[in-house]
Amino acid sequence: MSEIPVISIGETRVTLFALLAGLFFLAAAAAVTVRLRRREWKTGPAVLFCLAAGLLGLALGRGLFFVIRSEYFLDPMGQFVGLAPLFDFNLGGVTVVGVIPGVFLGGWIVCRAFGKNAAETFDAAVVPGLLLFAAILFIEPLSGQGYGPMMTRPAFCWSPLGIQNGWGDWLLSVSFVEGVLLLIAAGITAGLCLPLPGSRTLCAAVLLSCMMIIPESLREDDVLRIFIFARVTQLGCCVLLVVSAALIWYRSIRSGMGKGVLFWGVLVLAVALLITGEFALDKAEWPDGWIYLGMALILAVTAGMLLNRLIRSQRGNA
Amino acid sequence: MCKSCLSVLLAALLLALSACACAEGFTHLDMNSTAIAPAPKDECYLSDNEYKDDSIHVELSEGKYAGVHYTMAHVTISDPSQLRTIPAAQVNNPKAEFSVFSDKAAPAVRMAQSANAVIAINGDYITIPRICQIAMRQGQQIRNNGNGSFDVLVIDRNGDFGILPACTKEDYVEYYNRHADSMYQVFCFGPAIVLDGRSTIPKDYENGYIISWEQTQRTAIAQIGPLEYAVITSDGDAVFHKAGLDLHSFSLLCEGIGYRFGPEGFKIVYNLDGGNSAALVFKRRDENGNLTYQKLNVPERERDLADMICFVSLVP
Repeated sequence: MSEIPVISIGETRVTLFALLAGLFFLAAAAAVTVRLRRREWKTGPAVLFCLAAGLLGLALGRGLFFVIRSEYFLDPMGQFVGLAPLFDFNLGGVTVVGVIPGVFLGGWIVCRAFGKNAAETFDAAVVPGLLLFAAILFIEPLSGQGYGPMMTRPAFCWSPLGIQNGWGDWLLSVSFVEGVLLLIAAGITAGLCLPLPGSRTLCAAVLLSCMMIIPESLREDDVLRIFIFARVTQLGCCVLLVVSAALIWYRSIRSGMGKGVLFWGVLVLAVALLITGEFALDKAEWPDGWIYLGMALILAVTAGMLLNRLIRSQRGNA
Repeated sequence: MCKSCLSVLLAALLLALSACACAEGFTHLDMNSTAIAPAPKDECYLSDNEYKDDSIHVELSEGKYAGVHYTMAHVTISDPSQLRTIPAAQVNNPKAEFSVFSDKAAPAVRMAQSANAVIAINGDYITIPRICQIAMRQGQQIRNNGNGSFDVLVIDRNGDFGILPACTKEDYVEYYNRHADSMYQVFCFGPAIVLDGRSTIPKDYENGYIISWEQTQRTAIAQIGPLEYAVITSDGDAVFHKAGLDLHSFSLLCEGIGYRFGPEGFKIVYNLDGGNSAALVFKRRDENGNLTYQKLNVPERERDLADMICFVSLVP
């Protein structure tokens, strides 16, 4: 964990993490291109879709990271050093909270340009996208990040759940846990019968946001924070959850389902309880395990409720 | 006569040389890095409240003020390099240095352990630039974005404290340009709650940045004299803010403690981050009789910290 592996390619030095992430992106882009060609896309526009989504995702992810960590633009005496750090890939990182809107924006622009249905296109791309995200999380420890609390059970230490730090202590690999959860999310998203355009993407968004909130809370690496202690990825997951819920609700109303007062009541209560849970982890004297269990139950109920409504709205339209 | 004079002189010279060797027998720690100090020795823990070796003496005492429990540690060191700061990243990487780019936080006990601290307290939460607007750690300038809302504590390379009141970016640049070579640590939280023995915090003092009116846990560091310090934490409840001390009361507590060390009291007492960040870590025997690092104030609740101040031993 203390040494980040770097590889020299000619004159260029690149981290092993960045190299592997780039290769994974190429693999995912190839999978998306194949899937889009089955939906009557030509190869050129399909490749352009992947490139636009990937590059805009990277740009927004990195841009948001630097907006939050604006100190990169200042020297130690507080003088502005220009925007050069933004383009120095040895500095800083990328936040998934910027990547997700960037991917959607880039993809949507290409769909508009080629007159394609964006919802259908994203449905074709979402499972490879989740698998790409999972693969990047599996290799996150190569970037020196992705770890959580110290592991107390020696039996797990040599499993993929353990990462060894510079002192020889074993830490929980939170990124591995997140990667496994995203594989499950990809399996559920691929397996459900969701014929309405955009439904598969909404399903993935609900599962992604619900599954990431607790592991993100466990991270003890260089977590990106705003408003002093709030974790950016957790806030992003909450926003994604609410936006997905709003879209599911809108679709369900259009398919003739009830207005969903209970739906919104449960959602607002769930978000309020999750925020309370995070505060309780910092402030209250309750055991953290019980707080996490409570949060997991709330997230499971919320995801179940949203997916149930999403599936029922398909039947209403059928 | 001449011979006996020579013998006395020789004996005196030998005595002086042996005394010098004793004082210089320990390696001065690097003040420009977070290099790790020698571990404290188990046999030097004289009780649950005292550690003493040839380079450092720490003695803890506890008490109650306005119904609130507090812990005070009296620390005497023999070299200024024994006052050190620890970045949270050190719990995973022994070579970690302070960085403006890190948002890492770690449990106080693990931080104290990684630094081989004899005693450690929380710092000013260096990763929150809105509050810790100016920072230098282990001689490394980290950040300067002061807006004049905070008193800044400067510790020089002799281990002496100084205060830059309501420090702005420009004030700091001016000070830095004149004193850069002698500066060692700079903290931005404050305020200075005791100066020259007297509390500086009036009853109606209000400072929203540090929520001065709330009754909560608090931490302060004080200088008594050359290489002699005190660290003080007061307990409290960080959820409802009803069972601790407000800043005015805390300053009166610190003022009172200062007079235990002489009629002049504390030279400077500087308030550090409080609430659940307040932490004082010292080794005590656990239920199995093993010496382990323990958070002494409000041990049942621990917030991960970004940085700590610690006092270490020089005895290898």
